[in-house]
Amino acid sequence: MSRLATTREETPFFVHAGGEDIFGVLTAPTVEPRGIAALVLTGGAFVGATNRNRVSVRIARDLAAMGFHAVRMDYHGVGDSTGDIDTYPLDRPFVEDILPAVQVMQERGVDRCVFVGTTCFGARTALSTAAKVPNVSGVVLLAAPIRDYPNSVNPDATPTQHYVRRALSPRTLATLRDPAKRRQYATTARWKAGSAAGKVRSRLLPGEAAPVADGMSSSFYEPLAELAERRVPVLIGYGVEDRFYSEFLQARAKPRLGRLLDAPGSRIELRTVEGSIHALRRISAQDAMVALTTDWLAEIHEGVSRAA
Amino acid sequence: MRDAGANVATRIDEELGFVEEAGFFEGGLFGVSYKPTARTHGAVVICPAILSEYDHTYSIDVSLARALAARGIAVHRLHYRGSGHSDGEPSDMTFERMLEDALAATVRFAAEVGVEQPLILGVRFGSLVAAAVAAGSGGSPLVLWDPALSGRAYFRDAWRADMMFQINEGAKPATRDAFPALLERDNQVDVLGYPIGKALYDSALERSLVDEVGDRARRILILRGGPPASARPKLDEAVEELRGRGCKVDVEVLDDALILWFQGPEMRRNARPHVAELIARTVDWIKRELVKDAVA
Repeated sequence: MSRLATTREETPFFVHAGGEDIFGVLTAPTVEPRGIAALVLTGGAFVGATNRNRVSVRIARDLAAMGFHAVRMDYHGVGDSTGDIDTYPLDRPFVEDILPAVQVMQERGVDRCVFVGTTCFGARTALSTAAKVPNVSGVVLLAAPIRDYPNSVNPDATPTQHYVRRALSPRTLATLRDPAKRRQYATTARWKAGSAAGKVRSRLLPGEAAPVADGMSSSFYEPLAELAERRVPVLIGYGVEDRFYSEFLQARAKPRLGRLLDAPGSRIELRTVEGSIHALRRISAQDAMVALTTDWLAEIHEGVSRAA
Repeated sequence: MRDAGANVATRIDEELGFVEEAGFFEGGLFGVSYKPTARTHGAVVICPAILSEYDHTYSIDVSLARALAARGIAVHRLHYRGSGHSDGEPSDMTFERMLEDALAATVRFAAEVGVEQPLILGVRFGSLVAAAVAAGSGGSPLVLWDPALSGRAYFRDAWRADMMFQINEGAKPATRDAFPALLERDNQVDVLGYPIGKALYDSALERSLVDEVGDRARRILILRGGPPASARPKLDEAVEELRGRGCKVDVEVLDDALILWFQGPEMRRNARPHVAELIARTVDWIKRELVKDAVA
């Protein structure tokens, strides 16, 4: 029976990415290695590689007991990595932070990967990174947003006039001196422009790729379609009370996502747990998310046994 | 990957002039050391916060450590067992084990950098641990960030924060008195997704900051959230008691409140000036204390 990993199996490391030193911890398998690196990525809550209440530490040590080389990392500007961070842009996930670690694992002879995106931004980073990496044997996307909302507000549901009125208000104009605010406004403006362009293109060229289609951002749909084409197993996991779940279900009922999930032999699977896992605000949600992840990875990797 | 030695990863910050070593140490403890490449004027050990405050102050601790190391002051940050990257489970945490971890880290780091009495810095609940470490380390100066005045007061704050969360979520919150009953029934209570275990609760409930500091006179800086006009009568009482024991206590008040239980992107953005103020004031005070000692 396998044994859970401890710090005895762990090695800290720094890798250089985008001009910053990215910190991570590698947990070596406590059983016969499977030659698969499991990259455990946190969401956008400004918590480091440990994740809320050490959820990523638990996952990494569980996966090591299943024969994976588990890697947990701090994004730039978070935890023990260097750099600065103001926001987690869903349309530009931090793929560059993760790729050097993948490369290091490949150089060590661990040339297959699974990605575990532990909620929201982590799921989107896992998705986008997996689409750029060969030899991916599984991707776990937990509470993945399907659109690139700035600041959790749905710009599609907010009339353009609202933004125009706000943009011209003295309060907004006063805050334009703040670079962070300027970036936030620019993201909203980009979204509205992309959404409008998408709607126009969808009308003109039905079925063609568009920035926003069937309620999904291209930054969600395109890498998912890429993984589907490569027949990479993908778990999409939500809590039934997650706001992103209802949006996913709406998109699921439309042609694009439906085609991916319902295609013969599709390896994209949807599973749900009770409650909400998006922000991992309750221990029960954390437990459910860890079990969902490890159970599914055990199922798709033949011969994997669970830790004692 | 740049591993340096047994189980330590090293990065060299040439611009700021220090070496950063993140690693696993004896007993399954994780910690990060920041060692100036030029002359070292003194050393600081950071006893971090716990629960959600641990995650929300992590980056502040890192920024402070780097700022101090850039000024010639060596720093060590530790993760208590049961927290962060260290071994152990949160349910096994007790005040005594946290103290044991902090003492072990302090003794090891002090020997490494050749400083006899490092300054000890405590963050929130970590202040109780820091005070106890300082009490066991001669006349070490103390810096306390928004210190928990007692275990009892801290757990009350934690439960109140969770009640606020429950209200915000639209749930009917448990009553204030429900905490001990839940603890008794489940052996732990979920506070914002972090467990307060019965062992930690029982071991820390009756501890107070003043008692942990002990009777030896020492220099202390207490930095708390503001606004400056806001009253904290319990803190004032504790300060008076410490002064009565011969401690030289400076109290500095930030321009705004330090809210560390919750932190969304907007709150984090808004808190940036206060965090910068917190770090700047801490660096100034520590520099005055330690560099003065080095010269003397």
